[in-house]
Amino acid sequence: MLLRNRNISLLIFELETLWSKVLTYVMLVIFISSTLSYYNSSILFDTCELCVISLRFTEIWNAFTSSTVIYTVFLVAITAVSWSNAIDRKLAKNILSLPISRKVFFASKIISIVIPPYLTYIASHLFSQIYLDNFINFHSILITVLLTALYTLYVVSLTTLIFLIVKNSIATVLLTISILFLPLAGSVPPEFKYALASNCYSAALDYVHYSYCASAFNNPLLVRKYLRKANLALSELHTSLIIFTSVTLISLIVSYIYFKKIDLD
Amino acid sequence: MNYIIIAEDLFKKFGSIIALNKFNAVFPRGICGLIGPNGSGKTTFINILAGLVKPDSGKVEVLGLDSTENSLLIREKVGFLLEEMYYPSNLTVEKYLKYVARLKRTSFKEIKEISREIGLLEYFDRKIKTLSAGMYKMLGLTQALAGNPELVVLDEPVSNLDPLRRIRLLDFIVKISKEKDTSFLISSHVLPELEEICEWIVLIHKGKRIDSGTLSDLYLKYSTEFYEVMADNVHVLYDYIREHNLGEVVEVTKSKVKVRIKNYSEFNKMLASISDKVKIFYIRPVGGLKEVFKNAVEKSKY
Repeated sequence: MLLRNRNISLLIFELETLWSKVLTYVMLVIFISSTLSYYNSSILFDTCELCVISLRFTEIWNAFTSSTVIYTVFLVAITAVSWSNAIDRKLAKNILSLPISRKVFFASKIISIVIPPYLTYIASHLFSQIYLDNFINFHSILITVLLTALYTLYVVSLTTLIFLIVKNSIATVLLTISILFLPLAGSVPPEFKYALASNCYSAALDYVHYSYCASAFNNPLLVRKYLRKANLALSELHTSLIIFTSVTLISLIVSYIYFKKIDLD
Repeated sequence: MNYIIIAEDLFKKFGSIIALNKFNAVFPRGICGLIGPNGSGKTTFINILAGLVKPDSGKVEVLGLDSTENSLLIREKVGFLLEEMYYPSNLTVEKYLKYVARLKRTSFKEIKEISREIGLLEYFDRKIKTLSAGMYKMLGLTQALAGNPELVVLDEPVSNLDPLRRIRLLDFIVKISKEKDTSFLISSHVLPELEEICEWIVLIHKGKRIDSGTLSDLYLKYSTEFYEVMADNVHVLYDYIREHNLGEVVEVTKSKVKVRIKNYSEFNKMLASISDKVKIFYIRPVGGLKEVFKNAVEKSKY
């Protein structure tokens, strides 16, 4: 019944067309190896729960910071390849000669690019956190799932916009990676760091961590100190979230408007 | 007349190149041909019909629907085979056509039947990347014909096909047109084939319509002195032409008589009167549509 739905069929078609067996295996190997290697599976004998949380949060942040680089490059490359297949190799022309609207095609294209890497990436992180670290924490799971979803959409939408403007896959990859990693350059203003995934993860984990600390101590001075730190992390998180969300939305809307008007000759 | 496509003042420019320059044309129901040299604007016109390209000005109605406003609805009713199509190479023909069936909301059984008729069925297990250029074209044709469309638009359908497949395909088009009352718009460079099946021809050159009409209208308008007549009994035909002094017989072959005539309409009328004695398959200028097109371009000011 579900397969009879035209939109679902198109999404499955897009997934099958883009994600060949070889590409899927390559993705699994890259993501799993790059994620697992950053988690420290050693058992922590510290009896202090707060210390365990603190150490595990640091470990999660380290793992995200390191694996995000590979994840970003992979996402940019696969987005450029997918749009190149659609526009340069005329797959979009073929599909849009069928009774499929540009809106549905655009949406299914974005979803088909996003879903497999996202699921693999968060699955490997959650597996590492839960199974290897034996660390089951609602907040860390929430941060992993939501922030990664937002970051994935951010990268894919930005790459899509750049491809539709540049219309060259190699130029798109180079330009997008330069833009995404620009905040790492030393000469740029410090405000640019808010557009870094590592900064966003760090702010989220810091907020949760300091909130734990604030609730764990009875000393009002310590509570105030941790709450201040938590609020600082929260405001950093807000700034990062606003940047990621607005760039994602603007990129998606502009890309769609551009795609809707583009001549597929 | 009931027109399936009406183009009014279509104008489209790509950079500095004018693809369509105030193109006006009508296409009635039946099998229609769009003829023009490379770069004349045929593909741009077809892309506009499919909603893939938006005209800068002017409008086109397909089955009574505006192509820019009702593009999706048009694609529900019209099957398209575009000149340049890319199919996912890692899928098998069968798998791809199953997707086509779902996307066009038609049964896979019907698609299998079309594939059988045009000779694609035996390639169902093959991956698309292993198909020859001809079979690639057949895959596109199956996609265009799936879902029993009211109109099928084919851009260069017979290019890359071997002669046997061309004949098979053209016979299939005529059969579908008669059995299912499906209309066809065929754009092609292969003029002799179009000549055999098209009931209406639109001549396009440099983005403008030079002329349009039925084949006999165009023959009459752009006729040269020499005509060839194909008949089942050339000897009776030869005697008749000589007896009635209809023209000078230049050449006689097994099935054709080549004649130099003075008045096409009178010649046509006279031959129609002997239909009980000789079956006339066609009367056309030597050189056929190619000649008509050449003369039409020369006569026009473009």
